[in-house]
Amino acid sequence: MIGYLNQLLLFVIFLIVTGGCTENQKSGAGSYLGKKYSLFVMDKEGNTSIAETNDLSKGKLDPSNENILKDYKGFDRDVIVKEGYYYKLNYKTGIFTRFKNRGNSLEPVGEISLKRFFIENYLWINDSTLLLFDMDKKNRNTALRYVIVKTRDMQVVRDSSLLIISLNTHSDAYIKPNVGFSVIRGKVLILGYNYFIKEPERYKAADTTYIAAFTYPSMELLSISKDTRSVNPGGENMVEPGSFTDEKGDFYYLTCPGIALGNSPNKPTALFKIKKNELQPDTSYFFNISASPIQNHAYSIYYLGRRKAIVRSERKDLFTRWDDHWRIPHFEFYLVDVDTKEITKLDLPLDKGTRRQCVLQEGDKVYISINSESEGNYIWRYDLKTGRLAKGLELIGSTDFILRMDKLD
Amino acid sequence: MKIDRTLIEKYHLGLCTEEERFGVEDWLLNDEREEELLLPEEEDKLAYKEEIWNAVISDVPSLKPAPKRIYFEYFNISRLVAASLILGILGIGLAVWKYNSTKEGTVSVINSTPDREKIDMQDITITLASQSKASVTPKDRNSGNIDFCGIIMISPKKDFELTIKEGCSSSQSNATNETIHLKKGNTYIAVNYRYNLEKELIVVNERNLINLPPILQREIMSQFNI
Repeated sequence: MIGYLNQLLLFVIFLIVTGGCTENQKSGAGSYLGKKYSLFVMDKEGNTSIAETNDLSKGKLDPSNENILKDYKGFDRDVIVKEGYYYKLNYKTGIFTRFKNRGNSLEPVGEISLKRFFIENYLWINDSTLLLFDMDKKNRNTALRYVIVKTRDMQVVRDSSLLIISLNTHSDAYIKPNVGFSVIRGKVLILGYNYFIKEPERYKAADTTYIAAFTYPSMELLSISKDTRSVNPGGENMVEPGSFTDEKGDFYYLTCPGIALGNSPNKPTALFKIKKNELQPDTSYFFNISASPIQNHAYSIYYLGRRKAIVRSERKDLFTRWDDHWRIPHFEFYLVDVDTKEITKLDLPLDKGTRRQCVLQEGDKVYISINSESEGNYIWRYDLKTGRLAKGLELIGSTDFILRMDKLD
Repeated sequence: MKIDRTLIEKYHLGLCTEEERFGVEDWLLNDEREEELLLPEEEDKLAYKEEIWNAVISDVPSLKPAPKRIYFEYFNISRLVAASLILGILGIGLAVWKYNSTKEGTVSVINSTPDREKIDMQDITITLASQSKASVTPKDRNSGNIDFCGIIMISPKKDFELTIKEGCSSSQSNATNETIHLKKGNTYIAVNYRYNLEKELIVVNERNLINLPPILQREIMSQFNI
C-alpha cells in the first residue's frame, strides 16, 4: 500500500514538474519549441499559404496540406517573422498583429492600432523592440513618421516624426520620400531615402540618394548627405534584404534603381559602404553591379559572412514588358566578394518572382529557394566550402511561387 | 432575351408573357449585389451616398432633384407598396436608361473628382481612381472592351474576357491592347505605366500587387482602400 502511495506521489510530483516546465517554456523568452523554418507560398490560383517544417534539405512538402493561414486571407509576403512569431499590418483595418502558430493555425497573441501607416522599412532595435518607418502624411515632403513597438506585450512606446530635408520648392514634382534602409550604430540612427517623382504614367526615383543621421534615441538631426551615383538605397526590406553590417561593423547598402523599384534604370545598381564610425557613405567605395559581369539590375543582397554575399539579379534580355517581370523566370544568383568585387554565377535554374525572401544561411550551408518552370520549386542546398549545389526540399502540389523562407528559431 | 426598358415597364405593369416574365426575373435574380463601398473610417458614407445620388440626378436632365426624405402622413402598407413599386420602376428604368444611354452599350466616365467612381455593368464593375477615365463596351455576357487612362480596378461578376486598351491619347493607332481572362471572385488592377513600350499597360491580380514598385503599390492601395 505504501509502495502504491509512493508511486502515486512520485507520479503527482512528475505531473507537477513536467506541467510546470511546459508552461514555463511556453511563456519564457528564447524557448521556442515549434518547427525551425517557415515557407510562404502562392499557388497557381493565387492562394497563399504558410507551412512550417524542420528540414529544408530533403523531402517533399505540399504547402496546402500544412497551411496554418486558414483563417487569415489578408496575409502577404510583407510579413515580419521573428523567433516563432509573425507580425503583420492589416492596411484596411490599421491593426498590427502578433501571431503565433498554435499547432495548425495562426492565433493572434497581441495587437496595436497603426492607422494610416504603411510600413516602408523596419528595424529590430533588439530582440523585442521594433522600429517602423513611413512617410509623415501631414508633412509629405519634409518628415518621416516612426513608431517604436515593444513586441512581447505589443505596446507602442513612441509614435513621432523625424524632420528630413525640405523640398518644398519642388512640392508638386517630388511627391514623397521613401525610406530604403535604417541602421542603429551605438547612439546614432542612419537612414537612407529617396524622393519619388510622379510623371504622367510613371513614378520614378529622383536623381539623388539622401543619407540622414540622427542621435538615438533622442532623434536629433546630425547630418544629411547627398549622393548622385545611384538612387533608391536599400531596396524593400519588408520582403527582401538590401543592406547588411559586416563583421567589422561597416554597413553596406545596395541601391535599386531598376524598374521593379526605383524605375530609373539609367542609374546603376551598386553597393555602397558607410564605415563603422562614419555618418556618410565612403566616397572611395563603389561596387557597380550593373557594370560588372552581372550587367543587370538587382534588388536584394544576402550577406553570408567572410566578405561573401549573394546577389539576386534580373535578366533584362528575357523580359520585354513590365508585366513579364514577375511572371517569367529570369532571375539569376551570383556570389560576390564585397572587397575584391569578384563575381561567380551560381549554377541554378532561372528563378521567377519580382520580390522574394529566398536565401537562408546556417554556417557553411546556404538554402536558396528557386521557382523554376522547368525544374520545379525546390529549396537548393549550397555548400559554401565546396561550392556544390544540390536540390533539397521540393514544394509540390499547386505551388507556383515560394515567396518567403524564414527561420523561426 | 434582351432586357430593355420597355420590357421592364411591361413586367411591372403585369403585361409580360410567361417567357418574358421568367426572363426578367432571371435577369433580376442573377444580377449580383453591388459590393459594399469601403471607405476610410473618417469619411462619411452618407455624404458619399448623397454625392453619388446628386451625380446621378445631374446625369439625367429630365429629372428634377428628388426630395431627400419622403414622409408619410400615416403608416399605410398599400401606400408603402405603391411607393416602393414606383421607386423600383424608376430605379430600374434609370439603370436601364444609363445602360443604354450611349451607342452600343458603351459607358464612358471621366473621373476628375478626388475620389473613386464606379461603372457598374451587368457582368463587370470598373472602379476608377481619381483623375482616371474609362470607356466600357460589353460585346456579350462573356466578353467586352475597355479603353482607359490612369488606374482602374476591375471586378468581374463572372468569368469574363476583357480586351484592355490604352486610352490616354486621342490617336489609337499605336495603342497596345491586351486580352485578359478575368476570373470571377478575383480583382484586377490595370494601370498605365511606361517602361519599354511607349503605351504600356500593367494588368495585375490584386494578390500580386506587391510585385509592383512600392510607390505605385501604395498609390493603388490608398486609391482603392485595399
